[in-house]
Formats: sequence, C-alpha cells, structure tokens
Amino acid sequence: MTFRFILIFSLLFQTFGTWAQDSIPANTRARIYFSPTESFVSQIYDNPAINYYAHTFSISELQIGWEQQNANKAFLPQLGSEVSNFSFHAFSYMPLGENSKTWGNAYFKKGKREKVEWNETSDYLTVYPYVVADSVGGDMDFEEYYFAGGYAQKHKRFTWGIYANYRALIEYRKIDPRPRNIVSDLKASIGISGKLNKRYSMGIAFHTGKYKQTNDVKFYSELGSAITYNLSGLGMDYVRFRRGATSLFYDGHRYGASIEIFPRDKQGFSGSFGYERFSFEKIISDLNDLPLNTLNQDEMKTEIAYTSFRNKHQWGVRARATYQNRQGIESLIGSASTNVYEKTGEAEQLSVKKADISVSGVYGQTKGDRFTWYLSPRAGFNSFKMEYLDPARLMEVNYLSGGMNFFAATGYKKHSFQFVLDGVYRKNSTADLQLTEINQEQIALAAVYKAYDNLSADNWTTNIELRWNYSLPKNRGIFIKLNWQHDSSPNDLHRETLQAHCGIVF
Amino acid sequence: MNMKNNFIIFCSLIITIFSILSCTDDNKTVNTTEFTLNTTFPEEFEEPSISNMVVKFTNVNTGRVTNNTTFANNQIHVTLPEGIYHISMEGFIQYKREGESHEGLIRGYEESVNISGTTASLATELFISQTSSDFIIAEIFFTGTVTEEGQQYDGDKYIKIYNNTDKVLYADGLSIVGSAFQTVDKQDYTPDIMREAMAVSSILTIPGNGTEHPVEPGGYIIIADNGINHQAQNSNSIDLSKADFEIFYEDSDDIDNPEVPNMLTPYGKFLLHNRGFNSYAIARLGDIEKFLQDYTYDYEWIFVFEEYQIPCEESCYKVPNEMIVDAVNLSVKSEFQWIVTSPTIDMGWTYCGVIDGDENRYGKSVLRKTFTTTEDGREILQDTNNSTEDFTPEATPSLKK
Repeated sequence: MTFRFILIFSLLFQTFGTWAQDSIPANTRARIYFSPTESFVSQIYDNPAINYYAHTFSISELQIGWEQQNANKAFLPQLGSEVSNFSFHAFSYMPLGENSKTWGNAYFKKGKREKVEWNETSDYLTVYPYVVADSVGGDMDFEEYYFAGGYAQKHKRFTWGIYANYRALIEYRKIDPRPRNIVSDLKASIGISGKLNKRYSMGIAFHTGKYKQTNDVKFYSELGSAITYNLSGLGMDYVRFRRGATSLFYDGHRYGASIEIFPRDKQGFSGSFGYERFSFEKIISDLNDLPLNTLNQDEMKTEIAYTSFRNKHQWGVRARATYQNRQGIESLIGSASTNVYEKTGEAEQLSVKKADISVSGVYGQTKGDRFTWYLSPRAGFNSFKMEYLDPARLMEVNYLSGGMNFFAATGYKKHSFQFVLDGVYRKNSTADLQLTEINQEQIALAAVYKAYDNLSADNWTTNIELRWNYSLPKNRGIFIKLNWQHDSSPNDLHRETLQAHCGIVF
Repeated sequence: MNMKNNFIIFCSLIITIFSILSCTDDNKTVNTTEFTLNTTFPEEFEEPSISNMVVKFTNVNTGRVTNNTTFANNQIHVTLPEGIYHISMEGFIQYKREGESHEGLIRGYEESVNISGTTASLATELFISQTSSDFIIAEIFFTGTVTEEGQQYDGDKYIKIYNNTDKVLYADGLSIVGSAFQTVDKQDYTPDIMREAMAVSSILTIPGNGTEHPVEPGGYIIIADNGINHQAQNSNSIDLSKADFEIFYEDSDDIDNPEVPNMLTPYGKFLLHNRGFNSYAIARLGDIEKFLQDYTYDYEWIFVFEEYQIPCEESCYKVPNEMIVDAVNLSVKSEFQWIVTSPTIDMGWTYCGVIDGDENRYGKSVLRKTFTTTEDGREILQDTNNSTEDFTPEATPSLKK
C-alpha cells in the first residue's frame, strides 16, 4: 500500500508539474511560499473561493521524510511519549487556466507512537474524554493517509471555490491489549467571494464533514485480561461497563460557516470569523449498538490582521482568537433484563471550555534572492477548563505565552538556504485541580494527575529549521530540510524531536 | 462609506458575537429525582420498632454509593441523580410475635430500580434474615491456579464447609448445590420463584448414614474437585490429597483418588465456574429421591440476540429457602446483574476478579471473615447472610497459607 501510494502520487504530481511551469525560479517560489508573510494571514483561506488569492505563483513539492521524537515522559500520557514515523508528502498549488486555480495535498505516514498510556482510542484530542483505556497501554503502530483537493474559479465580480479532504488512520497493537482502530474523516467546503471595491472582497463559506472511528480492543491471553475503562472525564468512568464494552464506534458529523473580508492583493485589513459544530456519539457495538456518550462541540475562531508587504519595510500585525466549548452527555442505561441494554435518559455531566488568544507581528526586509529576513514576535493567552458536574470535579489551567520567530533566506548561484529559529515560553498563570469522591477503584485518575502535572507547569520550546535548495534545469529544484525541536519544563520533562525531509520542488 | 468603516463594522460584529457566545455561563445541574421508599413488614410482626436503619443506593452505571439514614415512619425520602439503582437496607428491629419479644437485624433489598422523573416511589417488604444453627460455607476457591508456564490449571478448586456452632454437627446427607442461573445474566424466568427458592443445576451430597461424618465445633471439611496433591504437577497449586471428599464423575475425564471418598452426585454436573458467574449453597434436602420427585422446576424465558427473540423452555430443580442452610452469591464487579438466591438467605455477593476474565483472579478465593474467637480458641465466623459483608474477596486460599 505504501509503495502504491508513493507511486501514484509521484506520477500525478509529475503530470501536474508539466502543466504548472512557472517563470519564477523554483528556489524563489519555495522561499516566498515558506516565508512568514505568505502565511501571516491564513484563516480567510478556509474559504476555498478565497484560496484563489492565496498565492500568485504555482508551486508543487514532493518529499519523503522521517521523524523521531524522544522524551523522558509524555506531555499527555494518552498520546504517548515518543513517536517515530516515515512519511511521504506532496502538495501543489497552481493555475489551471487564466481564471481558475487548483490545489492539492496528500500524505502518507507509517510509524509508531510509543508508551501510550490510558488510551486505546485513536484521535484522542478529537474524542476525549470518551475513550477506552486501561492501565497497561503500550506502543501503537499506525498508518495514516490524507488526500485533499480544491478548485476555485474567478468571474468578473465574484469567485467561487470547493474543497474536500479525507483522512484515514489505522492504529493497532499486536500484543494484549490489542486495539484495532480505523478512522475515516471527511471534510468539505464550498465558498464564494464578491468584490466590494477595487481592492477588497467579502466571502462566505459553508463547511461540513463526517467522522467515524471504529475502536475494537481485544485480549488473546487465555488467562484473561486487564481492566478496561470507558472514561467519562477527570477519572470518572462507567463502572458498569468495565471490560465488557470494548467494541465500539464513534459516529460524528460537523457543519459550520465562515465569513471573510480581505484585500485581494494582500495589502491592508483582513478579517474572518468562523463557527463550527462538531458532534459525535460513542456507541457500543457489542451491546446492541448502545449509545453511551454524546459530545457536542461548538467552536468559534476569528482572525483580524493588517498587512503591508509591498514596500521595502514589510510589516503586519494580527490578532487571533479561538473559543471552543465541549458539552459531554452520558447516557443513563436501564436494567439489562434479557441482556438487552436500553438508554433510559441522559445527563449532561461534562463541560470543557478552551480559549486561545494571540497577537503577533511581523517585520522584515527582502533584497530579492540575495537576502531576506523577518522577525515575528508574538504573545498569547491560553485557557483550558474542564468540569465534571456530579461528583464535582474541575481542572483549570491558564497560560501566558511569548515567543519570537526569526526567518532568513539567502541564495548563491544555484543554491539557496532558509533558516528558521523559533522560541516560545509559556508561563502558567492559573492551575487548579479539584477532585471529589475519589475512591481506590478510580485508578484512571493516574492519567489525570500525570496530565495535570505537565499542563500546570511552565514550559518552553525551541525550534531550528534549515533548508537547502538546489536549482535544477527546467525550473525545478531539489531540497533537504532538517528540523530540531526541544521542549522542556521544570517538572523534569524533556523532549527532542528530529525531522529530516528531502524532495523535489517545481 | 469607505472601506475602513466597513472593516471596523465587520470587526465590531465579530467581537460582539464572540463575546456573547463565549461569556454565556451555564449553570447546569444533573437531573435529580425526589425518591420515596415505603417499607412494609411481614404480617406476623407485632409492634415493630426499627432503629439505625441504613439504606444504601448503588448507582449501577457509575458505581456511586449514596447512604441514607433518614428512615422514619417506615419510609425514607431522598434526592438522587436519575439512574438505575440497587437498593439495600439494614437496621435493627424489636418486635413481638405471638406475644414473645424478639430483636435482630431487619433488611430490605431491591435490584435495578429505575429512579427517574421529578418524583418516584417504591414499596418494598422488609425481611428478617434466615438463621440456622448448621454448617456454613467458609471458603470457595473457584478460580484455580496458573502453572509456571502461564497456563490455566483446573482441578485444584475446593469448598470449605465449617461448623460455626458450639456443638458437633454431622455432615452426612449435606448437599452442595450450584445455581442454575448466573449472577451476570438476568433473564425473566417464568414462573418467578426467586423469592421462595433457588433454582439449581447440580447437586452433590455427602455420603453417610447420619453419624459417619461428625465435625467438631470450629472444625471443617474440604470438598475438593480432585483430591490429589496438585503441587506435583504445578508448584503454584495446592495439596488436596487430604481433602475429606472429592468430586468424581465416571463419565468424564476425571481423576479418582481412591484414598479420598467421593461425593454423591444425584443430579447434574457440579462445576465451580472459574470466573465466578454462579452461586452456591449448602442444603438439607432430606430424602434425595423424594426431593428429585417433588421439586422439579419447569421454566420459560426468552433468549434475545440482536433482533431475534427465541422462546426457551427448560427444566431444573428448585431448593426451597427453608432447606437452604447457607448460600454464597458469586459474581464479577463489571458484570453483576442480580443475585440468584432469595435476599433472605444472601442479599450480597462476593468475587475474585473485578472484570470478566480478570487475569489477576487466579490463586484467589472468597474467604469468610472471622467474627470473633472464643476463649478456647474457636473461631466464630461472620454470618449475616450478606456475602458482600461476610466474605473477604480475592483472599489467599486458606489451604495455601
């Protein structure tokens, strides 16, 4: 499957490459594409119609990569502490004709998440806290496939666009406990934008999606199995369904809309606001499709920016805010007479409120391909509050953060280099964990304590990236990219991530 | 209006929507029910007076336990989160019967009560636990052991029967019965005899003419699955070669140690379920032939699988509560659905392993607690007819100590 995936996409993107010959040198296009100014305003491009204006040049890239993450402990035990994977990634953005553009993105990853604890379910950050867990855990092998494609067409007064992506994930373990999880995640958007005046347009887009995950945990040891828990948040679980309900699925859907205002030439004010509702049900297959939990998530996000990237002194300022509200509902299950479980009611027990606010700026100068640099300071506030209603439990952590990003690029003959240095420090401003009615059987609380230890600590991240590009005939180029990241916190958490990629750009 | 004004209006709108939606504070509460539990007494009780009544509500889904001590005027009022509950009650009663004063423990028990809506109520009849001055089950070692190679090892299971009285008892004719129904699988068996009798699928009887097998006060007898020294095959196992009796079925691949007397097997094939799905009792059945003639139990139930419903008719024997000397319900925490005896003979259950197929259950037994020790060193074991309270679950087997 891996080989076939690479072969198909290599051929596909080679074909696109012959259509997408651009007069701008490949090295220049790569430098612009990855520079901070090109992605400084990003949320408006969730509207596929506006993605028509995202870039003024075409670019395609094929790359293979390897990633290795080592840590002395996990930041979130449910995600594992270490990761290693091989990946193949291809993306393309190109005009198809005078007034239409298309873009695509695909990747394949195969690897292993190591030392996963208290979670046998995939996509933890999507379905938390309603996962199946046990105290054993272990490494999880995974394969992930992603395909995305969009198309936008410009008319005299308006532009329209469509976009869809599909992600498939398979995760499994070959020793007890043996989860086998299959995720299918489909998203689609349709959008339109219309001209307000000579420079500005306004857009509106609608988004929808379908999410499904089957989660099947088996034990093959003849001696029996470890206890599995259907968790409900902050250490709570369905006591009645310990061990018995390990064959289940998550059935979800999403819909949303966004509105945008933006300058088509990327110079000036831009603003966007998006809303999305994501809901899923956790359903136990081996109990006659018994719905155990429902989760409704409302998310709003906005981005407001002003950019001036045409002059010698290029600068921009941006504010972003995201607010997410998750409401978790537990089913009340009646008597299992004749072994048929029926839902008799429900209780809204869980609330998670998450807010992220950030302001950032960028300033830099460019002297063509000879030398370009940008400095991007940023500051932010992050808030996470998770509450369980009865018995009353709460986890709250707030952060203040500050960071700086430095980007530099230079070229010499057929060679060009890009260098990125990024650092961020997060200072915990509030940390509160209140747990009532604790008993010895709630051993899943171990995961809550571990997560809280890390979430309530200050932490910092340093990231260095170096990319070397080399021009080839026919306006193509090859590149090698190395990335090293170090995460650390005073509570003895150290994590190193090393990535290496190489590929071709055209 | 210029573009700058348009943009300011756009931003103001976004900020307003954001503020309204994110600042709405939701003071949510879990739905609760005002629940009234009305109690009645057996008709023969005169002038009953109850004190220290504790009512325990166990939420089946969450395992959360709520204790209530507000019992007054034969009822309690309590506010509970909506859900399915097991309810157990225990208190002290003084009453008269036929003019004589009595006192003791009074209890009540209800399973899987759906408590929902703004108000709900239930009527339940309290009962006095049966007492007997006969043998009790002191221990059931039903899990077996694991070999050094990590394989299951069967055949080393046993039951320990104890003389908890202060006089010599004779084990001759004492029967051990295994439940026909399982505590992890509740069905609507018709006719419902659960309050009056125990449905059994197997019977073992201790041989003897009535005085062959005396047991001193504080003494016990061991009934082994296979009465051999299992340590010869499995160092993790137990020496049962000195058991008083063993279970032997000729028509199966069973081991018969000629030095250990065999139990009589008048009905069914007695098995100790190694995950603890069945319950066990000891009983005085009288003339066994007559019992087998008089106490058949024909019942019906509906087997449900997905969309299929298959009516079933089966037959076994029923042991009236009056014949039962002692009973122990076994189950698994994650799977428990009901007790398969009348609550008057056992209103609780005990376990080895908290989940079905728990890999940590092997080599553990359920062991009755010691209530007190007499001056001459005789242990009096706890016998309140509530296995949850009377037994230590997941204990080290007494023959392994």
